[in-house]
Amino acid sequence: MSLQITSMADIFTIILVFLLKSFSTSLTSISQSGNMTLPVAQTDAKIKETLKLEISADAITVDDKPVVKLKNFEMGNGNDPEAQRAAADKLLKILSDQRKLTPDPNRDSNLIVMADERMPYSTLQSVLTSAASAGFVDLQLVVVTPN
Amino acid sequence: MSHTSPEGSSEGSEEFDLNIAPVIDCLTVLIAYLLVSVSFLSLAVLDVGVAVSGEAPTPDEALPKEPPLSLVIQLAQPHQVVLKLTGGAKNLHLTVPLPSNGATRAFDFDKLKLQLDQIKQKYPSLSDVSVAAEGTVVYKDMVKAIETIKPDFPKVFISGENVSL
Repeated sequence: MSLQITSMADIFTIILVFLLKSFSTSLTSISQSGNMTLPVAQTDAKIKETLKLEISADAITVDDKPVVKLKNFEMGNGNDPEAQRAAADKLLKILSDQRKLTPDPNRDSNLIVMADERMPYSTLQSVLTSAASAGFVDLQLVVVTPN
Repeated sequence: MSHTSPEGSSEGSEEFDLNIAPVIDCLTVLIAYLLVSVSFLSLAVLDVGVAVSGEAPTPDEALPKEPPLSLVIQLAQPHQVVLKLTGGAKNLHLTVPLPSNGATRAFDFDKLKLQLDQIKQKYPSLSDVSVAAEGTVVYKDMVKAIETIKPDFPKVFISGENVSL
């Protein structure tokens, strides 16, 4: 008696097609990293490909490159305003450089923001100021949908 | 890869038996790779704008006869939501404070939703809403507020100003 593997091949093919369909092939990798908890919200808007900015408890990353170190979501070393200003300036410079990469008529004002749900508004405010100064005034706040 | 079966050697008829074991191997590897790399989390976005402050218009510019109607929603500690409706034909200066939910000691977004529904019915031309917050308000609550506002007012702006009540 020989093993009938034709039906097994059929099943595998169906599983493969299903997985390939659900596997999104995007230029920007949008996935929740281990040390970040995204907020949950009900929305239907899909993510549009553009520059990605991530804010976790220990760093701000632009396009998956860490640019500013954070200490428990705070820029600089806690209450040092000079260090906070230097960090905000560094972020502004990097965002401005990224925006200049696209030619002027098509210059994108969209920015994908992935931030931890525990982040205080003061940190978001500093990031928003730098982003708006660099020309990124349309934000896409990434959330996890309940369903 | 194919080969002629021993029974198929009679003249004019050839039977091919496809060896699908390597195909199965490839499919198993592909499925394992896809299962590891695929994310089953469903991600979406909330589109918001940044409220950019600029210079005041020069006197030469034509000024509107009435100040534009604007709604600002402020989140402050301890878990208080304040709605500020200003401008319009009657030059409104309305402030509606919504205290925290007594049971959960959190922002009362259900009351905010009811207030927003009423404002939308009363002022259908109002489309933009600005959201501001105190420095210690967490991002989760900001997102929850934006989620509550969006169905009534699709254009939401995050204000860069710090709120202190």
